Amino acid sequence: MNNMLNRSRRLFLAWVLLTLAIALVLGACSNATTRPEETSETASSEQTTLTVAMTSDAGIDQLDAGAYNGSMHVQAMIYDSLVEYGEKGEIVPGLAESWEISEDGTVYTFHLRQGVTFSDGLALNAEAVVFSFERWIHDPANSLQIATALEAIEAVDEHTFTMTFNKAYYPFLTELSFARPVRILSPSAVEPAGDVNGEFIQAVGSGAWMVESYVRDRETILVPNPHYWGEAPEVDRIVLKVIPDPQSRVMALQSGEVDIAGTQLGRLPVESLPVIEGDDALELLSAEGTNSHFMIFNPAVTALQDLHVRQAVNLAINKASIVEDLMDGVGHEAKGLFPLTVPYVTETNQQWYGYDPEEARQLLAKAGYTDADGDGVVEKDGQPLTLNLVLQQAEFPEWKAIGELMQYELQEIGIDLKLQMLEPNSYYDALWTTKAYDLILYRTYDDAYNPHSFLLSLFRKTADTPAVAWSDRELEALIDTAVGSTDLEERQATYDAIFARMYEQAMFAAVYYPEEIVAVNQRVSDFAFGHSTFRPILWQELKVGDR
Amino acid sequence: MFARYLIQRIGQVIPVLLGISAISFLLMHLTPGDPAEIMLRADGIQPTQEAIAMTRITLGLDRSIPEQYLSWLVQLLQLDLGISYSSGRPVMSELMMRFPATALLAGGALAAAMLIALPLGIGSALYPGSWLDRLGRLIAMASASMPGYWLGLLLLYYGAVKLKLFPVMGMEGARSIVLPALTLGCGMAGIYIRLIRANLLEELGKLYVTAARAKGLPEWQIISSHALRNAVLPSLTLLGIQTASLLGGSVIIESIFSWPGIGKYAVDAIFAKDYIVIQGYVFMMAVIVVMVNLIVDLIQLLLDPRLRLR
Repeated sequence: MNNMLNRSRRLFLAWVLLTLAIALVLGACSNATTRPEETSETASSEQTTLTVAMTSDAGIDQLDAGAYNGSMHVQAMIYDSLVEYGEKGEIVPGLAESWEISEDGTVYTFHLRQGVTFSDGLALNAEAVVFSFERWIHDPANSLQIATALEAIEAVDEHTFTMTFNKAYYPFLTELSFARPVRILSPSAVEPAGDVNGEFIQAVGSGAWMVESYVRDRETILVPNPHYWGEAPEVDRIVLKVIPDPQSRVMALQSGEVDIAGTQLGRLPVESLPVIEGDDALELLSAEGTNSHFMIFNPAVTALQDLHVRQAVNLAINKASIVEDLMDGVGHEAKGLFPLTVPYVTETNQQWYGYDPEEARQLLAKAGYTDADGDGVVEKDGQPLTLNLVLQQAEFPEWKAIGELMQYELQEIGIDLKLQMLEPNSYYDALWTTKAYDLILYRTYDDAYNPHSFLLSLFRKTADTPAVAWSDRELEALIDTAVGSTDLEERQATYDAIFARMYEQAMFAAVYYPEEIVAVNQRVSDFAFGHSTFRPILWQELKVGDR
Repeated sequence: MFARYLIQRIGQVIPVLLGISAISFLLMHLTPGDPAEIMLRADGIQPTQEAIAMTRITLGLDRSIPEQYLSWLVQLLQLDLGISYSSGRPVMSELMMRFPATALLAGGALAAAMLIALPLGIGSALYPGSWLDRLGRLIAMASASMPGYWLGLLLLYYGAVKLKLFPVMGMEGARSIVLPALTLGCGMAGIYIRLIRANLLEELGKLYVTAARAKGLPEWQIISSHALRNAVLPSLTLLGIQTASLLGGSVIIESIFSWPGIGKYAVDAIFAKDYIVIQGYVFMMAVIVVMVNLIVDLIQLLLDPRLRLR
């Protein structure tokens, strides 16, 4: 019996050894299969290849210039627009070398750059531009003002065309600088070629880059467009790798598999920043962002209709502490709805409530709220001041910590804040439709939508719905004046008045200004941030050295 | 007899699939959020009421829920799972494109789990109380309590960043499957180590084993063709359930290892409220679960003659 068991034990050992041997052989085989890839990699590295991490697939097979599919970052690399969004929203020439606006602000005449061709060699002329717009601009599902207010678009001659609108609206030009759907694509990008109703078949534009290869959900390889009209890029090839997980992006940087990670192409987790800072092979760069996080007051809530209460909430929040203590110094102290990177925001018109819990308590007392029963929560007419704050974590993980800090800070002045964490769909449903909140955390849109489009979306009523964030007739009138103004000085004065009005009425609570962050490895030099979310990096200037 | 059994089993599948798809369709429509509005807002612009109404018509959301469900069923009969709201791509081909990656990972995970569990499970049963048994217990405990994303990140850090043995991301070359398969496999292995150990110990103490030994059968034959065969039956049932869930994809593992599988596709669709994709995914999963269960039952029929008699 004992003998038998020993035999079976020996058999077991033999079997384990056999398994190990098989595993070793398999391992050796897999090494053999991956070796050729490595050699091809070293060959191409002399050709200066830059590898960049991206959160999701670029969707090249659907990257129609006139649609909202695929990556807008890649859209802006392949396709050019008539005008581009420069620093602080300055509109700079793109395919249009110059333009004139009629006295009443309704007719725009664009003069196209001469001698521009698409990457397939076709000429880019007024006819091609009109073709590009005609493909989508009459679609009623489109909400851009250049589409809804358009009366006519016509080619005048080879290099001139006009757009006629039914009203004056200064951000028409800003809309023309967007990543989509306003960019110009080659008539050969559709089938049948040049047919306005043709089906999109391939991404062909006049931009600095064109597609070399694409594997869904894995990578997109871009190479310089040989016909490009502007300065040629320094890099021979850009590989965009899909890495959905933020921690994995950091590891891909550390292992040297990617050269650049960060910005809106694929954010880096704040908690990993010390790791990147501690790595000698990596460099961490940051730039002031264009959006902000803030808290919307529900105007239907009685307590919040009192200006003193809104001011008290603002004064209770320590905006500097959010940056220093919660975000490890990443970002900036919020001083209003828009940071200074946004057009029309100046040092003088950016004015907001600081941190002063003592004054906040006095304001609450002025509004009639006192803590009569001594439970730490103030009340008025026997009703305790309890507010619920709706927030979500899926898109903005930092909101949980920010919400908890504000809960503590509001408790300090006697307001009982209840946090209500929702999944994104329920959160947006509360924000846009059901209004089931007292306070809700939200963020402003990015760059080109600011400030006009964001103000119109959140602080201006539409034909059938009241304003989302706060209803104020005076503010709505000011917003209308600003966006319809053709005079720059008048427009600036109106924006000054808008920001002043928001401050006086404490129409929202300022919370946090985030930052753009990127990590690059030592191979990369001359890195420069772009001026808009859809062009986070100035690709043309990048240089790549040896590994 | 066998053919009748098979037809009977497949016949049961149809009402199950109908029920699952109807329930998931209804549940999707009960959750908050309008797909048309979500889609337009994803573009970053405040959509006009007209734009939302137009989009609802294009997506077919203006029809009643039963109408929408019926047209989905009619399409399904032509093996068409519809067009995704958010990407505009056909759901069937999207699922089919991602399924091989998920299936490969599932296979790798099962292989990894078995490579860990079989030797440790059998070894623990043959040497109860030994260091091998204690190691098996330790690994089983770690496997059950370690979160997958943490193990994944650890493996990635040491295997790919520090030792540079494996790539950090993607599905390229045979080496890229090792870490994700190991992560998933480790999470599964623990329970099998304990199951195999307990069942094998029980079988080895049974009279038929003594009889076989008395008959003079070689020990390897006693273990491999008698004791082990009976000992793995409970594991097989569990394996069936786990295979089905592996084939549904794992969003965490796929994200960490940039694996282009089906799990992340499904979760993204849930956030975008892409009814059509979710519906297609639920349907595919239902088919897979039913098929895997059927296969497991058939394998058990092969392994256990007692079942065949019934």
